[in-house]
Amino acid sequence: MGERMWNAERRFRGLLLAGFALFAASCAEVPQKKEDARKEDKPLVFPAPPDEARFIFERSIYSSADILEADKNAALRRALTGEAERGGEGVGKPYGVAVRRGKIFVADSVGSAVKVFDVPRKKFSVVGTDDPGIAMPLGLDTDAEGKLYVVDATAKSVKVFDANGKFLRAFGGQAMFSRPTGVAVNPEGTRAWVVDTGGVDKQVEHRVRVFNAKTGEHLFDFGKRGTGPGEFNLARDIVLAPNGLLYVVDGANFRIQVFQQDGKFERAFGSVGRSPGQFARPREIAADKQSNIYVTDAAFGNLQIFNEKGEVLMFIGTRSEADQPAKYLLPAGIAVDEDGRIYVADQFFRRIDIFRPYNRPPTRPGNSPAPPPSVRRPPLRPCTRGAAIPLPRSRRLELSLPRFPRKLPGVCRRFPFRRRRSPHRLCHQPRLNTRHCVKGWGPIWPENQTPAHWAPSRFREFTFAGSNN
Amino acid sequence: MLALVLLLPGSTISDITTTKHNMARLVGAAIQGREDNQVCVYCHAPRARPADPAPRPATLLWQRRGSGTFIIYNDMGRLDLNEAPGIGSTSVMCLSCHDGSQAFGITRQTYDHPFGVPYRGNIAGTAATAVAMAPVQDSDLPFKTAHTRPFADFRPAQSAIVGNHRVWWVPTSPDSVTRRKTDLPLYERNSGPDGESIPFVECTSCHDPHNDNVAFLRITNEQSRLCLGCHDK
Ligand code: HEC
Ligand code: HEC
Ligand code: HEC
Ligand code: HEC
Repeated sequence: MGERMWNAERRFRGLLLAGFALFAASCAEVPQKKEDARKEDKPLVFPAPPDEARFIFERSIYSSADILEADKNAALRRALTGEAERGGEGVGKPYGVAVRRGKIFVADSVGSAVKVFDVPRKKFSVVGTDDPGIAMPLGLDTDAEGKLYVVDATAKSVKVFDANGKFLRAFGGQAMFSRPTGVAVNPEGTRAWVVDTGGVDKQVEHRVRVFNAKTGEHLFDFGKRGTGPGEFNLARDIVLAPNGLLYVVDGANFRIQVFQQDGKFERAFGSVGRSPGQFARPREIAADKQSNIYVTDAAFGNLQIFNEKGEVLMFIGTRSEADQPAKYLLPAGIAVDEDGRIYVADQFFRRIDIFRPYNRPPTRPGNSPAPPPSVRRPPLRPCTRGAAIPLPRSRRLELSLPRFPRKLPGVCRRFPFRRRRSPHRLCHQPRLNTRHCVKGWGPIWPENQTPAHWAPSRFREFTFAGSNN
Repeated sequence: MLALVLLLPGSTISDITTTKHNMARLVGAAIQGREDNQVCVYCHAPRARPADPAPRPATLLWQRRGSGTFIIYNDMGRLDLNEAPGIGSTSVMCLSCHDGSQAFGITRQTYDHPFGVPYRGNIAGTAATAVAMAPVQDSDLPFKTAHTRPFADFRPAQSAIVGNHRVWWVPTSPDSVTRRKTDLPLYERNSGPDGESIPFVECTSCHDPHNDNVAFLRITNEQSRLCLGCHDK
């Protein structure tokens, strides 16, 4: 860091501390709201302290407005006025979710399309609008090339699209399936495993059908209706974990069954009940790089994480009628990306929640979406004379450190300095890499800052996780 | 669950084993050692019973807290045994299966009958009326016609206190003070401005997932009898 910079920094720090003293003085009494504000500003970490944090809530996506730049004005307006209306295109009824290199694919089972939220490129697109369309998309998967595989429950086939959303081919068909729901494809894109849920009146159609994903040739099946090892009752979804094993959600047997790729039964875990490690209405499944297994359960309103052996590690989410992060009524699709981020769709709130591993900085480019209006937060007020919200203890501490204030916590509604001097600019020069930014603070600010970016709620996802105040 | 069954007047639960809600049909073996409630577990996740061996404490390897039981929706209506808290409505519970995968999907966005909406007949008190008039919580509910019908288009609802709850229903035969099996239940939510009881229409107002009628309807819909149970036109 050059000397000029250093000086600027020092000057800046002086300013900041002076500024802060001022706030501290005049903001001492922000009445009652205090507790609320502190609660709201607390980053959502999972598991909650005192357990070691593994995941942190990153953001929710409701519609294209949450990722598109064009809609930023709307987002800003929402943030400022708390206006409930949400522009952009949303997902009518999200079912399956898949992620590949920042692109989030969400099956919209009533919208007859797959909605694509490309967060890094700030693009929104729709797959399946051209012939032959997708009548009712359910399960999704992608291969390493980025090809998208979509189960169409109405056409009873798997439709394959290239990375740009162009239709390539379909396989399966009315004669092949009773109720296809989930699909898993190997990274090479050569083999596809498709779950046929069957139906209450069906005997044999409760099985996994295996295809050559390139030619669509049907290779073999495994499973039939029953409760024994390797048998299914209304199976729901399937995932191919990096350890090479297939994990199948065996819905009405309340368990996950593990198979080798040729269909040889390995083991099963889970039982019916209401406690961790059990299932009541298991739905979709995903796997991370370590082959940990993630399963959503619509009755519990959560997702449970298991290790590859089936031992339960933790869960995220609670059942709630409040449309807030990590609160669910009808969780459905789930996916885990290359970095270990978790994406969960809730059909009731029509929302995608994203959690990132605790130790990962939010390095995603693209703008940070406006927090959903329903996420309750203290109302925005201009920071006249330090109408600041009380600082959580940990942050106060940080500010008093005689070091460069790397991050301005959500002290004030409006940034108290001329924006040109913002320390964040440091992190926001493309030349500088993340090393120059504190943990949890990435080079992601868009060039044209808006006051909304200084709203404390904006900081939530970037604040230091782990402050356990 | 066994206790549950015993508590029920025999007539309430018809034989669901012959219906599509018997998901154990054709399965063969019993579900994991719970023969006694085989057909019920699909919708009513069993609680540990006193007779059960002490449940193996679920050890969450990464999470020492929270290894109790998860809170499920209000899947038992208001007569749940333990008065345990429930979150959500019976509609949400239907939708957890009726999502187009294993059973027909029903949505709020398409033109299915409104559900999760306040009932509009004989809602006493101005506060309750205000709620019935107010936009449905989910603001982008695309029922263009939502709330277009005057209250007078609906038959009066009845209510009574059962246990410590207020229970609501729409009588389908000349009004009476007790709720009968053929009446259409409404579901109380304490969502009035002062926490008043407001009756809501849910899936289970029209359907009884336990009976063996066509489409699990509470009463037959011949000559629109079901519809006319609530609608007065
Ligand atoms: C398809 C799902 C489903 C199945 C299968 C099912 N139930 Fe239910 N049950 C429900 C729902 C939904 C409610 C809430 C209904 C209401 O509030 O009117 C309920 C409510 C009940 C109640 C409380 C009644 C009340 O008025 O609150 C009892 C008792 C009950 N069920 C027993 C059983 C038994 C015994 C079985 C097995 C024979 C069973 N259920 C199978 C869905 C189901
Ligand atoms: C545990 C999953 C589950 C739940 C919960 C559930 N259902 Fe079902 N339901 C099914 C299945 C499976 C079928 C049969 C679908 C098929 O194969 O045709 C079905 C069929 C039906 C049918 C069609 C019956 C027929 O004869 O065609 C109706 C109506 C219905 N359900 C209503 C409801 C209502 C109302 C609720 C909520 C109280 C509910 N279901 C909850 C699984 C469920
Ligand atoms: C106002 C009354 C009413 C409400 C509320 C209602 N239904 Fe129905 N439902 C009906 C009637 C009437 C039918 C029978 C239609 C027919 O005869 O084909 C039906 C049929 C169905 C069927 C069978 C569909 C088919 O094509 O055979 C399902 C499944 C179903 N309902 C589920 C639900 C679910 C789930 C909910 C709540 C989300 C719900 N219903 C709410 C009245 C209602
Ligand atoms: C349990 C009571 C109940 C039953 C039974 C019922 N409805 Fe309704 N219905 C309502 C209520 C309450 C509304 C008003 C929702 C609102 O807009 O606030 C409504 C609204 C409607 C609407 C939309 C409003 C409009 O004016 O267009 C239609 C259509 C409708 N009902 C048709 C039916 C049909 C058809 C049946 C029989 C299958 C039926 N209803 C049975 C309670 C009921």
